[in-house]
Formats: sequence, structure tokens, C-alpha cells
Amino acid sequence: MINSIAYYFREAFVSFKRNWIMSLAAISTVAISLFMLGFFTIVALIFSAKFGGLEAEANINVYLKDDISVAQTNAVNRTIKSIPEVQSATYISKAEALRRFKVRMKDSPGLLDALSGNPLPASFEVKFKTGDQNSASIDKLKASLKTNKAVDEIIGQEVVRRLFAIATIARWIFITIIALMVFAGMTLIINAIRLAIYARRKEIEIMRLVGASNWFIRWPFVIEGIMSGFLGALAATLLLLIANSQLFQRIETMVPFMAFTVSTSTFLYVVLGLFTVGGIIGAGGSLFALRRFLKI
Amino acid sequence: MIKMRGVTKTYPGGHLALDNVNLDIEKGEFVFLVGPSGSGKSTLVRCLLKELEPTAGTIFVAGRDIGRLSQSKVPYLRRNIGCVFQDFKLLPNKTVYENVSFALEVIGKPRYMTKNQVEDVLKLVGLGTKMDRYPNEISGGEMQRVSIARAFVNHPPILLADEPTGNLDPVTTMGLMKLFNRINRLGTTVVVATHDKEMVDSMRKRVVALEAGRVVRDQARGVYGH
Ligand SMILES: Nc1ncnc2c1ncn2[C@@H]1O[C@H](COP(=O)(O)OP(=O)(O)OP(=O)(O)O)[C@@H](O)[C@H]1O
Ligand SMILES: [Mg+2]
Repeated sequence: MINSIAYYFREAFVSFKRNWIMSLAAISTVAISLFMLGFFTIVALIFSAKFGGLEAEANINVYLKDDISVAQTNAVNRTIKSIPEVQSATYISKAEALRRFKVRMKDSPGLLDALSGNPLPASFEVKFKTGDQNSASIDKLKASLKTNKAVDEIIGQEVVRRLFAIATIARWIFITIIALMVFAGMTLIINAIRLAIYARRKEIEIMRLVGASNWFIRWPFVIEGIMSGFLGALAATLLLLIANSQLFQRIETMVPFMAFTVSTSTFLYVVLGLFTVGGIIGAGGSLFALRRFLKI
Repeated sequence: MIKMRGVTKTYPGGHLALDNVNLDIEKGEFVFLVGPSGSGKSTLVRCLLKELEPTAGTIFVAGRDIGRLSQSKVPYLRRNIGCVFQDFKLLPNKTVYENVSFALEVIGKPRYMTKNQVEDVLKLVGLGTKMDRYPNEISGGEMQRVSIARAFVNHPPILLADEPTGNLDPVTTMGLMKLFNRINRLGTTVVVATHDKEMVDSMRKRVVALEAGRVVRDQARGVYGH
């Protein structure tokens, strides 16, 4: 086994060279699919680092009517806190709301002058527990307060719900596209290996007749497939590096307060992942191509 | 060494190539398998290599029923049977030397370990000076000898040769026969399928005659005809 490894690699390289046009087609497809996989993974990582707490941070505000009693306010508070998914409900009085509003608007004093009295309502700022930060919890909150006369409106849910929905749809679109690309890459590798097998069918027949084991015959093709997968991953990594310097880092300089890059170690993990997926695509493709073969 | 019992082979399409063949070949024997073209000689050889499955009957090689050999064990059967093919089966893109070393390489012996072994066997078949030629740079008789060298380089206990002298002149044929004799005297069981009458008659070895897939004669120190 050990003694044959040099043979396997030599044969794989020879076959690869002979077959390079098909291999190139396979490698490009694998490269593009792996690049997309890496790109979306990095974008997803950036967004989840940035907005991972979005659902929790997005204030789900339960606005109260102006002329309600303390007892009614307390009742709303109790109702909110009785929902198991709720982590906290912070009361924001009318005065507090005005203070926050003034802080936020300090750059446009003219706007403040126009305010007469305090038009802002009191509210509860609701946070959900980790793991419950989803639209189901929001629905539950909404349902429990639907008949409460002290509640004016519950704001925030539509935005959050839409974000959830968009994220889910985007994720499925990406997964579908990547799956299709991976499938196309694998199909091309299968074809490249089939051609390689066909080009060497006489040699393979002789190998069989002089007693080569099936794995001895398979290894060079499996290595050839893995090589295609790795080269695809390598090309994808280069594309990702370009995307990183030309896109992510540029966005970061344009929007300074928002870190739009991943750490080097995260990037290396993504690259490692791409090589793993590339290797699996290559090995899987060649084993599939070899599957109906070596029956004698 | 080789035991065939009721071996019958019908090709897809219904052609009966072997018809109830019973045959025993002992270790160290030299056997000619003769018969007219189409009598089933190659078919018998291919069955012994498990390149073909008999339609009926059993074949034992070194005491093992090869019909019950699992797919993964077939290579080990073939490592024990060197075969000289009717059409040589040399690789055109490999030199004489590489064609022979290839047979060792594919059974897991790396090139650097087998240099002497390959050179020795090529000298044995008289090709010591043409090791670096490609198959299209040597004659038919020389290709035949490369094929023999490859079959024998691993010193298998059994050597099968299918029509090893087809299209060769009488002198070359005699040279090859001497070579087989030498290999046989090293203890190898040799089976030569042929319809070369002169060669068989001159060697006076055991002759098994096939006709339309049947064994019609089995004669020690025999001749081609009756
Ligand atoms: N793959 C095949 N499919 C169908 N029929 C076949 C096949 N191979 C051989 N035959 C037939 O089986 C019979 C025996 O063939 P085989 O090759 O064993 O003959 P042979 O004795 O080796 O002949 P030769 O001396 O010409 O080599 C022939 O009639 C041949 O036409
Ligand atoms: Mg024949």
C-alpha cells in the first residue's frame, strides 16, 4: 500500500494532464460553487455577528394610551411578564420618552421648539429570552394584549417579522443555488473521470488481467478527482481573497463604524471548509464514476 | 493444480463454446491444448482466469473453487496465473521494460525494488538489449516474448499461453518453445493453447484436443493429429 502511493499520484497527474480540458471545466464549476458557498458563509457570519441580537435588540414596544391608571399599567406589565418567552419588560414613562427623544434630536433644536407639551406615549420595551427571539413570540405577545384597552399599539413586530422572513427566504435561495452549483461541479467531475477511465480502458483491462486489486485501479482516479476538487477550492479561495479586499474591506471604509470583515482565523476556517467540501465533491464524483465499473 | 468438472460455457446468443469439459492438470505439468479455430481454447483459458464465468460446472485452481471466489479475491487468483494473451495486450505508450515492470507495480511492488527482477526475465526471453524500445519498435515475435516476460516475471505457479506462436516463423517458434520448456523446468505448470501442429509434434508433451467445445482426446506425450 505505502509502496504504491508514488504510483497512484504519478498516474493521477499523468491522467490529469491528458485530460486537462475536461478537468478545467470541472474545476471552474467547482471553484464557482465553492466561491459562492464561501462568500455567502462570510456574509452570513458578518450579518449574524452584526445583527445576531437584532431580534432581541429591536425594541418591541407596547405603547400605552395616555389616560390610563397606574393599576391598568401594572396589569399590562403583569400580562407581558406572564408570557414565558419574555425576558424583561421595561417601563418607559412619558417623561422618559421625551428625554430620550430630546437626546436623539439634539442636533435639530428647531424641531424641539415646535413641540408643545409631551405628545409621546408611555410604553413597555419588551425583550425576549435567547432562543425565543422570533415571530412566534411576538405573535403570542400580541395575542395576549389584543383585548387590553390600555394598549394603544404594538410596534416593531412588522419590521422584525419581515426581516425574519427575508432572512429565511434568502437563506433558502442561497442554499438552493449552492446545491445546484455543487451538483453541476460534481457532474462535471464525474464526466471528467469517466473520460479518464475511457482513455485508459485498455490499460485498466490489462491491469485487471495481471492481478491489480480494484482499489489499486481506483486510487489514481480518486486522487485525480480529489485534486480537481482541491484546485477548485484553491481558485475559490483566491476569489474570496479578492472579494475580501475589493468588497468587504471597501464597504468597511465607506461605513466606518460597521466592521464588515471577518477575522483571519474565521476566514481560515471558511477556507478549510471549502477544501473539505471540494475534496468530498471530487472523491464522491470519481467514486460515482467508478461505481459501475470493475465488474470482471 | 487445475481441475475442471463439467465445465460448459454458452455465450450470450446461444453459442456453445465449451461442452462439459473435464480436465485435470497436475503441478509442474506441460500441456498443449489443441484444436481447430473456434474449438473453445481461448474460452477455456479465459474461464481459468475468471475473465468469463462458466455457464455450468466448477473449476478448481490450487484446490479452490474459483466460481465461489469473491470479487475482491479475483486479483489474487490472477497473480498466481501468468497469462500470455493471443493479442499480447501490451501497452503502446510504455517501453518493453515498463510493460513488464507494470505487472509488478500493479500488484504493489514499486519500481525501484523490481529492477533486477525485470531485467532478469527480459534477458531470459532474449530481450536484454531492447528494454527501452516501444512495442511499435519491435517485431511480432519480440512482442510475443515481452508478453511472456510479463506473464512470468512474478514467477506464478501457473503459466497460460494462448496461441503464443500465431504468425511466427518456425525458428522463432522453436525458440519460444525452448523458453516455455525452461520455465516449466523451473517448476511452473504450463498450459499452451495452439493449433501449431509442428510445434506440438516436436515437443512430445501431453496433448488435450478440443473440438467444438468438447475434449476429444487427452494423450500423454502426444502429437497434434491422430
Ligand atoms: N464473446 C463472444 N461472444 C459470442 N461468441 C463467442 C465469443 N467469443 C468466442 N465466441 C465463439 O466461441 C467459439 C470458441 O471461441 P474461442 O475463442 O474459444 O476459440 P479458439 O479455440 O480460441 O479459436 P482460435 O484458435 O481461432 O483462437 C467460437 O465459435 C467463437 O465464435
Ligand atoms: Mg483463441
